[in-house]
Amino acid sequence: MKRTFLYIAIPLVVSACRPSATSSVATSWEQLPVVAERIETNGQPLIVCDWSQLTDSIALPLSQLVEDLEIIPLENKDEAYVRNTSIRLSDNYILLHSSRNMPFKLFTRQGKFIRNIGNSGNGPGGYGQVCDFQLDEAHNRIYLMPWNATALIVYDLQGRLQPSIPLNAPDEQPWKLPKSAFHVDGEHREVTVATLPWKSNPRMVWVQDFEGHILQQSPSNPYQLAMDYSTDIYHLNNTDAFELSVLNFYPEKEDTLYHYEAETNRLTPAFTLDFPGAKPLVHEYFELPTCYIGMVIGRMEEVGLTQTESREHTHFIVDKRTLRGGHYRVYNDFLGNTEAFWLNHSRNGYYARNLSPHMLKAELEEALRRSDLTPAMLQKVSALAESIDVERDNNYLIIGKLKCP
Amino acid sequence: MKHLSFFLIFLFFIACTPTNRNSEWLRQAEAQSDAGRTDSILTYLYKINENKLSEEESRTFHRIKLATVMNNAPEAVEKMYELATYYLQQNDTTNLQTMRKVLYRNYAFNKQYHQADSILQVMLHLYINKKDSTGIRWYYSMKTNLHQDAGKIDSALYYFDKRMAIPYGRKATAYEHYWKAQLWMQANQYAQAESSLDSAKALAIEAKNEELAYHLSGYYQQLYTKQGQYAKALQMLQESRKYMKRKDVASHNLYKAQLFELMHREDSARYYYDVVARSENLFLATEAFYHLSQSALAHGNAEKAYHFHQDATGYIDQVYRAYQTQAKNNAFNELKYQREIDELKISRQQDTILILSLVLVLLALIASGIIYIQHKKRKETEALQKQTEQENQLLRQAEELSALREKATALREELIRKMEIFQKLPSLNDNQENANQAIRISDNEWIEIRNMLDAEYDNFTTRLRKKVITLNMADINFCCLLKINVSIQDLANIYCINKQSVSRRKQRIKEKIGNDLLQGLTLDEFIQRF
Repeated sequence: MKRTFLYIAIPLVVSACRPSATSSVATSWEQLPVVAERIETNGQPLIVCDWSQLTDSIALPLSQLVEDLEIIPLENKDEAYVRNTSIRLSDNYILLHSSRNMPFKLFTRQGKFIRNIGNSGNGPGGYGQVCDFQLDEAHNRIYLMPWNATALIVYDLQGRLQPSIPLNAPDEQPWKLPKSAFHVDGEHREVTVATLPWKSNPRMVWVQDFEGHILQQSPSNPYQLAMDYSTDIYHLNNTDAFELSVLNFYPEKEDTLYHYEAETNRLTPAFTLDFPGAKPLVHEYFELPTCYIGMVIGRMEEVGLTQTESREHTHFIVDKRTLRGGHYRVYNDFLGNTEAFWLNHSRNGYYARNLSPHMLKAELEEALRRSDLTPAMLQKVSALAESIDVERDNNYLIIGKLKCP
Repeated sequence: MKHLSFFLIFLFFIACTPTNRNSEWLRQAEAQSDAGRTDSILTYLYKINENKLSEEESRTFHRIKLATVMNNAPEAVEKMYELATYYLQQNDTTNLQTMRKVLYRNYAFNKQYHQADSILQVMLHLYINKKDSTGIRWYYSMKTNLHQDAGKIDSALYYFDKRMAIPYGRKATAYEHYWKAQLWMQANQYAQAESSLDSAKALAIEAKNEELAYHLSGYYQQLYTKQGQYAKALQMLQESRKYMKRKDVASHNLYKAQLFELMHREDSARYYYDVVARSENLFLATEAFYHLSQSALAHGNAEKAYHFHQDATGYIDQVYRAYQTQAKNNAFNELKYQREIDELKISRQQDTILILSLVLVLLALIASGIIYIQHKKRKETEALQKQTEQENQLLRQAEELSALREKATALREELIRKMEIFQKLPSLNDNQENANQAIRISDNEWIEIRNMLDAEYDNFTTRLRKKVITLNMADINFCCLLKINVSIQDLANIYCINKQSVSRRKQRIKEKIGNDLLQGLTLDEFIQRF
């Protein structure tokens, strides 16, 4: 009996004392393994990351990625209230994305409401869902790319509707661009456009002028996707390159982030994830100045008759220079080490978050419950939390310039 | 072993028997009902399987459900009456009052004021008898509501005052003044309404109830609007901004826009309708778009009116589709959960079947074991019995054999006695006349004696000579005489020696035979047994 008890108890005790299977969280890049290799394709570097090597984790302070952090309370004028939408910044302005009936809203850099830009709706200059937009302060222009667009909608910063930029060439059969990304070079009056690569679309990436004339288009199209609005196309414009990546759910396949080089009119692969010996998982990539980040979706779950939602997200990061990488989370060390979300919403060299006063106050109060804050940080967080009126304040923007290599 | 197996079976059935959670949930629902927590009540009620409730529990279940959720279905009303009748018969005044309240609410909702009033009258008698001031106060509240609903404002005011006249341990709340203001408004007594609103607002501000303070400002706006005092309404609206919250922005601007519209200040009205149309509140935005559409149409701008109208219907459509999608997703998720529950149930049933099967197999094994052991024991017992019987039989047979042997011996001896030779030996017959005379046995007679003994005693002499080779023929003859129990006297007479010499001769023969063969026996015993 005694012997039997020992045979059972000893293994249990040993297994309890065994260190947990998950590895500890790294706090510096040097602790992460090299997870990618740089190879050359057509004279251009391609970083290939091995998914199976991405096993370690790192907790990154936001200060490693962002130079400084601004907290901008938006003016709480009646017309100025916004939802938690995405942001575009320039030196002196902030432009907030529309949301349902709420139009684009222009603020000063300090958060003072200036005006609405156009209106959602069906009238002239009216827009519905907008997939991409650009604030060009230097040329006094705001560009909006709606879903199923045939032209870019153009406003000036005074809210006046300007001539739109056609996206169909004058001599071609009219077609609608599904979700698309773009960048306007106001100086040269050129637009680089990337649209979802459906089989029915005549092109995927091209450069055109403001009259719709195609100046050049990428000769290659690495995709031939079926029509599916669950697919997304991204262009974050955080580097000099016109980078683009596609989020495609079905079928699951290994994908690539490309650079479109207008000078050579080439679509060059820049970063990809390799799933050696395994079925690829749905994934998306984004490019920041110093690293590539992305998300891999573990599984899709049916939540409705025709709806699925992604579950078990894994966020990964790969440093461009050292090729070290792993799973990551970013904490906002500027603001009490709270979670720093929205890194993949970084645009045009800025990390930007738009959150309601409720959310911000909740995050700050959670930070105040931590015991590892310095007195100075404690005071800063506490003061900010107390200043927030959750019932009356407009949204707050958290903005930081991304560090460059 | 038998007891252990029965105990195991008992434990298994106890474990498999599902505990009745319905009673527990019903208790929880009743507790939540006492605390007035509707969501919690419904959560517990929806868990309950009605069919598994006892009669009393079923009554409790329906009482709580009817009191919590309004239900005008005929069967629900029938149930209300059934329960009320039952509680009346049981003299359960507490639950009876509850059912009366349910019935009252049902009548009032269906605008059956007369019936509703009758119920109230019945309840009032009970409250008066019990001196229940809270109940009486409730009665007056319901009377006020009833008359207010029926448009009989004077009566409503009358009952309201009766209600307020009952001491309640506190002064009137802001809500009660607000209620009074509503009654005055309905009676078109604006001055009194304003006075009540002022009291309500003062109390709301004192209690730092900004929500109510802001809400009252909307009522002020209605009050002034009704009197055509738009400027005053606007001023009140402006003053209310200090209590306004972000969620009130849309409605605030809508009030403003409506006021400006009433004041025929179209531009201002349009401006504020536009603000509302772009606000966070999609429903108010839709209403604002309709107003903008009408305004545009009134100004002859049909295209703009059309677009505004399209925007309005577009948002309504969006909301409708969102609700539809949500409803479909909810239905989908319900089916999904139900399927998961069913799968769990099937899995559980399969586990139960597996466990039952294992237990049955185990029981079968145990039973087989028990049967086998018992069978084995029975077999052993039978074998033992058989063996015992056989042994007994053997013993009997041995006894019989022994008896037969003895008889044969006796017969042999008798036969020997009957032989002529042995007639000479007095110890072998009853003739004792020649007991002390010498007895002479010829050689032929010795041969006859030896032959007879060999025939009767299985070659007695041959065996003896083989066994004890040192015995001579005289010794053998001597042993033959011992075998047939010739007495010492006769032996002395035969060998013409005295008895001591006979003993010495026996001793000599004994020495020849040796202790190994004798094994402690006397010579006579040895010869008899040989």
